Amino acid sequence: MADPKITSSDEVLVVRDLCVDFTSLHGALHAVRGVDFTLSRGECLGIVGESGSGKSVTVSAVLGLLGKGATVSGTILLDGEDLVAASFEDLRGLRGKKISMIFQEPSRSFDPIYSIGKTFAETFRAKSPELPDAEIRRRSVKLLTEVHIPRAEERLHNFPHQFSGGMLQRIMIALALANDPEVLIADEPTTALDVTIQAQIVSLLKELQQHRRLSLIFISHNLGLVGQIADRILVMYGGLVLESGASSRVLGEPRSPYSRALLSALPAWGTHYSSSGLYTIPGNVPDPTRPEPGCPFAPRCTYVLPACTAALPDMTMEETSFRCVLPGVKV
Amino acid sequence: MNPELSKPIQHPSTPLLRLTHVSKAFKLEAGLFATAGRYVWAVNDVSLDVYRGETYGLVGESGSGKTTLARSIVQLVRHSGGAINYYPGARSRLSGIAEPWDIGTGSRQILRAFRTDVKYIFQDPSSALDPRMSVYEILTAGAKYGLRTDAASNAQARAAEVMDAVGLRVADLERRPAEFSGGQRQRISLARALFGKPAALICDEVVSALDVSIQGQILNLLVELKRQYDLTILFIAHDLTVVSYMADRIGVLYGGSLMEEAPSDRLVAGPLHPYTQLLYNSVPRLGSHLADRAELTRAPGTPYNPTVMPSGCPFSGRCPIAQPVCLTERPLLHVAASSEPGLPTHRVACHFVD
Repeated sequence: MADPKITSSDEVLVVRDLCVDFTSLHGALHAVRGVDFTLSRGECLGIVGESGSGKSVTVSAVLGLLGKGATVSGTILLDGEDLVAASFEDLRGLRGKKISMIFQEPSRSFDPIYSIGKTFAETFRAKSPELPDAEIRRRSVKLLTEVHIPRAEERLHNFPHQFSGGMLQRIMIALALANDPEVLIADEPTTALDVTIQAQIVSLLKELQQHRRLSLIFISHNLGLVGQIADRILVMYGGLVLESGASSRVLGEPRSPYSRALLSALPAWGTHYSSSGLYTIPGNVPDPTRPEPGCPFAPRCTYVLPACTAALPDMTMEETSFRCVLPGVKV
Repeated sequence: MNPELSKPIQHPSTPLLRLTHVSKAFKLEAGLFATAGRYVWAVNDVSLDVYRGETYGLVGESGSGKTTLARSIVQLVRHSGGAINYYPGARSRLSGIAEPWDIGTGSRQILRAFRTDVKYIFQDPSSALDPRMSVYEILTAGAKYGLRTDAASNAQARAAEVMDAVGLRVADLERRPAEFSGGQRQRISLARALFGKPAALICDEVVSALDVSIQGQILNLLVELKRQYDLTILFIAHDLTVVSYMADRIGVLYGGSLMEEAPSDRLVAGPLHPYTQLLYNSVPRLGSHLADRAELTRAPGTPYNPTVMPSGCPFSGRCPIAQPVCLTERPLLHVAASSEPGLPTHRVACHFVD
């Protein structure tokens, strides 16, 4: 499925046939409709997709963060342990320790009346209640230094509003790593940040992934950004995986017409309106309350065939896996 | 502020808008914890021209002052220093008044007419459209309160015309914003702006809230409308790839100051200012690798603090080539030595770029 150097290492997270439905006023909302993926140890998996593609719901389901309104089915194996069947207490034990997550808006992820030091203390004590204060301080400073926060010792006394967005996201990452998880999920971690800061955060995540041998899931709608950090990429649309494979392949020779269209819709660096128009994808992102019986991209696809709307095409497993009735079209 | 800084450039054709030493300082309210008498120096002495028929791109990170600058043009915020001049030309409904018109002066009537000439389009179409109004009411509301124009007297026909221009159906006029997708709502915003036959559009992050697959539709539409109606566009965005694609000339803002200004292709080929270089290197491009950008991994230096009256270069705290002079002396925006004659000038504000 992916390149051999990745499949040779063992698999830390295996997701099979994951489905998530929400009940809404307008009937059932099928947010995720059968997602399969595997995360190997030390690997970075990128998940790209537009809003409503199901990427955030997928990872929230992995952490059990969806709440009572959601119906989750399928298998999520974290180091062999099934998370779909796990009890609330079991999940609590795993979150932070085995698997951790950082979110889009760092300023909303902190309690504004807790100092950074107190936030760290709370995080450590959640897993090791007996940890002495001095040890907590020592570990906090070590973590802050690891994410390149200058003057870490002093900064522990500061409150979230005294940090910039980029600094807060660094601290968020440090907190997520506090209990040495094996898997870190980053859900659009740089979307709220400026482009120069975004580059710093992505570099930091890459550095941590390599030094700690962390398994990373990086979610973004920005293909260029995902291409810089991910070893493999999952392209999602309408709650389904439409393509997955090594990131150089998915970005270089996309097999699914959707990945291809998405790549073409980005203005290429250095092009100008005076010389060429932008390629556009007609239509709109699909409505999750009324999923198409066939391929979710069929109504917008240039290559649509009668077979596309009749039934959902199977995944074709080649060097990259893709879900399309056509054996890989070329534009 | 020193009036010798950043002289307006000379250009063969007259501008549509000329900003001369424009500044805006917001007074911070004294609160429970805040101290009175402090200011946020949002825009500091910016001089630039927007020429008729061009797309001028403004890029900058959050807090760089791009929105404040744009909003001061239509007087949604009043600038606190400098002048913004408008050259209406023959086509405008303001053609009777003496050129150039200083938009900080004159009656409310003239300002309204000006705001029909220069339309502001907001980032998030879902919050810029009144959910209780039908699309027809949204399109015509401005004409009701603005100057009487031919557009207002023939509202029905004009509404159908602009709907067609932005790729929506005439039947959609009866619907309400909630029934449309994000991309369609941005089309409604554009239709509203076009209704009064404007000379210029100020597009403030108009595609940032949209999905990648929708973004291209709106950008193509803007290019199409610009050609069809001979529009001048001030295009503001933080996405450099998008701005480089859309703009003829680009101005780079940092800390409320114009750091560099050049034709779009020149900036893509080789930015001169250290800040623009950092900005351009930070853009994640397909096929580029993190390893090529090792210098970006460094934690930031001191970012610009907008509550302190700027003395030196706003970028000096983060600049890799900063010298003592950068902290004390504000660099002049000057024509770069590498500017090619005959082309629009390349201007840069750095002590160490000729």
